[in-house]
Amino acid sequence: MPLLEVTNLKKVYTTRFGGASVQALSDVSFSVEQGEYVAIMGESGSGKTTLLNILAALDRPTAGEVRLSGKDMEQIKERDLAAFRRENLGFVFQEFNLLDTFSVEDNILLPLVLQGRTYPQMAGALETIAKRLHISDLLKKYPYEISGGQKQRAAVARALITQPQILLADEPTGALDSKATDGLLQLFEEVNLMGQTILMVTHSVKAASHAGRVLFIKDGQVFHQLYRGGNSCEQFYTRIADSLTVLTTGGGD
Amino acid sequence: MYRRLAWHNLRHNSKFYLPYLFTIMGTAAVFYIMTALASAGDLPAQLRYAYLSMFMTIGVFVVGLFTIIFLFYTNAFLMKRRKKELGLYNVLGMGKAHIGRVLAWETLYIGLAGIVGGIAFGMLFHRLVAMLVYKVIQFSVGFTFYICWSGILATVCLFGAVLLLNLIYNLLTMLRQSPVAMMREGSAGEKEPKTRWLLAILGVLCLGGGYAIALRTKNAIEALSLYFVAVFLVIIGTYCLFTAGSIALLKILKKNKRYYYQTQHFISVSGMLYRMKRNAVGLANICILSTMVLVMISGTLSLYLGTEDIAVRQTPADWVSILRYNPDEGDQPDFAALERRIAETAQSQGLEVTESQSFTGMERTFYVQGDQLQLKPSEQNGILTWDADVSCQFLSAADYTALTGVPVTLKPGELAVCDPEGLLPDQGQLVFNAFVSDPEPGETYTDGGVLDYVVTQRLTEIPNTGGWFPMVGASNVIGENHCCIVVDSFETMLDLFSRIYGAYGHTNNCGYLQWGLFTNLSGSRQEKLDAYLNTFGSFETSPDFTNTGSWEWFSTDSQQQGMAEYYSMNGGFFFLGVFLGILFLMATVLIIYYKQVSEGYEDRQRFQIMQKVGLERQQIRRSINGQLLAVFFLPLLAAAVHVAFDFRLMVQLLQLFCMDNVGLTTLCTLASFSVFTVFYVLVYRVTAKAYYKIVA
Ligand SMILES: Nc1ncnc2c1ncn2[C@@H]1O[C@H](COP(=O)(O)OP(=O)(O)O)[C@@H](O)[C@H]1O
Ligand SMILES: [Mg+2]
Repeated sequence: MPLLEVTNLKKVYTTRFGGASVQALSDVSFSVEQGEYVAIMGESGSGKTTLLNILAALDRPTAGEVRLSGKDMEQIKERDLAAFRRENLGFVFQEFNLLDTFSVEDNILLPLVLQGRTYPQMAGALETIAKRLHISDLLKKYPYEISGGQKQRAAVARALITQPQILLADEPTGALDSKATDGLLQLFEEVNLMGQTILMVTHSVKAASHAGRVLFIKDGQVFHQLYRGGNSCEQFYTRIADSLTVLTTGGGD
Repeated sequence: MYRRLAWHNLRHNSKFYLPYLFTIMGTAAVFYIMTALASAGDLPAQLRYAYLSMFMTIGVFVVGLFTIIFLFYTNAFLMKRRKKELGLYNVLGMGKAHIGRVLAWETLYIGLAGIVGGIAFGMLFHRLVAMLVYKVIQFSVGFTFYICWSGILATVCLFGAVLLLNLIYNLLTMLRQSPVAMMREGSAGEKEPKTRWLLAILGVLCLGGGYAIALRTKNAIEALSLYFVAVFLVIIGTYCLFTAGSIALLKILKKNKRYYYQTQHFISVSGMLYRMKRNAVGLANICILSTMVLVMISGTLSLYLGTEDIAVRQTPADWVSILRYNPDEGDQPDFAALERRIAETAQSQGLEVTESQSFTGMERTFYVQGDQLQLKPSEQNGILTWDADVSCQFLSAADYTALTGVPVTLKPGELAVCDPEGLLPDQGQLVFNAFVSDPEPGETYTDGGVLDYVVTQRLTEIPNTGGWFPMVGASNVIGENHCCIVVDSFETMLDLFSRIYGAYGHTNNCGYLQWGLFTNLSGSRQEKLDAYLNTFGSFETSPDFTNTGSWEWFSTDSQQQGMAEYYSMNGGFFFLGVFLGILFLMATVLIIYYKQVSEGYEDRQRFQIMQKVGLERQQIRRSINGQLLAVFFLPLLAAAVHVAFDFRLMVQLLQLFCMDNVGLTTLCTLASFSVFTVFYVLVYRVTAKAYYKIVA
C-alpha cells in the first residue's frame, strides 16, 4: 500500500459573490511510497500550492480522494483535523512562517507543546533534531536575528520534530539565496536517506533534480513524470530541463 | 502630483487618519469653546462671573497642554505605522525631499480640515455649552451669540504650531533613517523584551509610596499638600509597572518550564509578553486617563450635588446673624431690639419672619494636663507641657437643647460634653490661671481660681451653630481636637467668661461672648436673596442698628447668597470636571481604537501561521480572546484600584470645600465608575469588532 494516494483530485475556487470560478486542479492522481522523495513541478499558478494545501488538510478538495496510510482524509472530522495534521504531517513553507513572538527553540517545540508532551520529552526530541540539522547554537535566538537559510532549517526542524509520516514542502527554496538553497537541498537528501518521506513543490529545476521522482503539473493535471533512476544530480537536471522545454513549447494543446 | 499622492495616502490610510482628524477637530472645538467662555464677552462683570472666567482659564491651559501631548503621541504612533510605506516610496526612487513634500501636503490637508472644522464645531456648540454652564452654576443671564476672535486666533496658533512641530518631527525621523531601516520597522520581528528589574522595583516602590500617602494623610490640609506628590508617584508607578512589571512577571512564568510548556500557557504567555511590550505605554496611558476621568467626575459631581447641603449647614437659617460682645467691659446688647430690627428689615422688603431662634456661646482653647483643663500650657523648668490642646465650644443646656432637640439637664458644676476624640477627663478641674505671673506696672491679671467639674452626660449630637464657631461651622464636623461643652446655665457661662477675662489681664485678648440669631423668612429663594442684597448687600443700604444697646460687632449672612456663591464655584468645578472628563475619555477611546486596529494587523499573520502549524481555530480564538480581554481590562482594573486608594484623599480634599458627605461621595464614585465601565465595555465591543474584522 502506498503511503500517500491521491485519486482524481479536483479543486474549484468560487469567488464569494458567485463571480468567475477558477479551476485550480482538474484531475490529479498519483501516489507516493514510503521513503520516497518526490518533487512536483509546474509554473506559477499551475495549482501546486492548492495541491499541497489539500494534502496538508488545510483545504478541502471539490472532488477526489486523498488517503494517507490508507486512511481517507475526507472522513476526518473538522475538529480532529488540526490534531491529525500535527500528528502525521510536517509542513515547510516558502516564507518560513516562524512566529516572531517565539524563540527558535520555542518555534520548534510548538507542535510538541500542542500535542501536550511533557517538557523532558520535548527537551530530548529537541536536542536530537537540533544536532541533526546543525542548529544547536541558534536555539536561543529569535527569528529576526537569523538568516533566511537558518530560518528555513528551524522550520524544517519544527516540521520534523513530531516524526511525521510525510514532510510537505511548498517551494522551500523560493526565498533563499543559492548557498542556502544548496544547504537545504542537501539537508532534505540526508533526511530522506534516513527514511523520511518528502513531497516537495517547486518551480526550480535545481531543487527538483535532487528528488527521486519529479511530477510535472500543468492545467491542473499531472502531465508527466520522471524517475531519477541511477542518474546523478547533473544528469537528472538536464532531463528535467529538457522535459520542461517540451512542456512549455507546445506540449499542452 | 505631490498633492494627489498626499490625498491618496490619506484616503488609503483613512482607518488611521480619520480618527486623527476627529481628534484634532474635537480638541480644537473644545479649545475654542474654552477660550470663548474664558473671555465671555456677553456677561456683566460680576462676582460669579469671576469664578467662571477663572475656571475656564484653567480649562484653556489644561486643554492646551493635553492637546500638545496627545497630538504628539498620536502623530508618533501614525508615523511609526507608516514608515514601511514611506520607505517603499524611497526605495522605488522617490527622493526624501519629495516624500517630505508629500508629508507637508498631508499635514496641510489634515490641519486645514481639522482646525477649520474644529472652530466651526466650536461655534456651533458654544451656545449649547454656555447654556449648560449657566444652568449648572444657576446663572440666569441669557446667552447671546458672539464670535470670539481671540479664541479663533489662539486655536489656529496652537494647533498650527503643534501640527507644524509634528511635521518637523516626521521629516527629521525620515531623514535620520535609511529606507531599508524604515521598511523593516513596520514588519520586523520584535526583540524579546528584556526584564528591567530596576524599573519594576521602582514601580512597586512608587506605587506603594503613593498608596501609603493616600492611606496615611490625617487631614485636609495634609491631603492637599501631599496630593500631587501622591498622584505623581502613582503615575510613575503605573508606567513602570505596566512596562517593566508586567514583563518581569511574564518572564518569571516563562522561566518555569513546566508551566510554560503547556498548550494554553505557551501561547498566552508569549502572546502577552509581546503584547505588553508593544502596548504597555498605551495601556498605562489608558489607565491614567481613566483614573483621571473617574476622579475628576466623581469628585466634582459629589461636590456639586452636595452644594445645597453645604450652604444649609454653613448657614442653617435663611439669615444667620452673629453678634460679639464683652459683658465685663460693659457691653449690654438689647437682644429684643436687635431681633425686632431684623424683622423690620425683612418686612421692609415684603417678607415675614416665620421662625426666629437665638443662643449664646463662646469659644476657648484649653490645655489638658492630667485631669486639669488649663488656659495655657504649664511650664516646668522653662519647658511648656500639655497632654492635649482642645478647642472648646461652650453652650448653655437650654441653648443646646433648642439647637439639637437633645434634652440635657445639669446642675452647677456638672458638664455635658460632645467629645468624639475622648480628650476631656470625666472628672477634673477647670483652671483659670493668670496669663502672666509677673505683670508690667499698670496691668492687672487676676487668677480665676479652680472649678471642679464632673461630666454627667456624653453627647453625640453636634449643634449646628452656623459659621461663627469657625472649625465646626466650616464643615459642621468637629475636626481634630475639637469638642462642645454644655454648661448648666447662661449665668455659669457668664461666670466662666469673667474668670477668663481676668486671667487675660482684663483685655479683649480673651475674645468675646457670641450671640447668634437664626431667622427664617417667608418667600421664594430669589425673593429672600434679593431682600438680603437690597439691605445687607451694601454698606449704604445696611439697616440702622442704633438703639440696640452696646456691642462690639454684628453681622448677618444669607443662606441664599451662600448657595449662589457655592453653586457658581462648585458648578464651575463640576462643569470643568465633566468637560475635561469627556475630553480625556475621547483620548482613551482613540488610544484603544488605535491599539486594537494595529494589533489586529499584527495578529492576523500570527493567527494564520499558528493554524498552519496545527493549532485548532477555536483554540486560537479562545487564546486571542483571553489575551485581548486581559489587555483591555487590565487598565480598567488598575484604574479601579487607583480610585479606591484615592478615595480617602478625595474625601479629605472635598472637606476643604466644606463637603463632607462621605455617603454622597461614595455614591458618586460608584456611579461614575459604573457608567464608565459600561462605556468602556461598549468601546471594547465596537473596537473588538474592528479587530476581528481585520483578523478574520
Ligand atoms: N483562495 C483562492 N481563491 C481563488 N482562487 C485561488 C485561490 N488560491 C489559488 N487560486 C487560484 O488557483 C490557481 C492555482 O493557484 P496556486 O495553487 O497558488 O498556484 P501555484 O502555487 O502553483 O503558483 C491560480 O489561478 C490562483 O489564482
Ligand atoms: Mg504557490
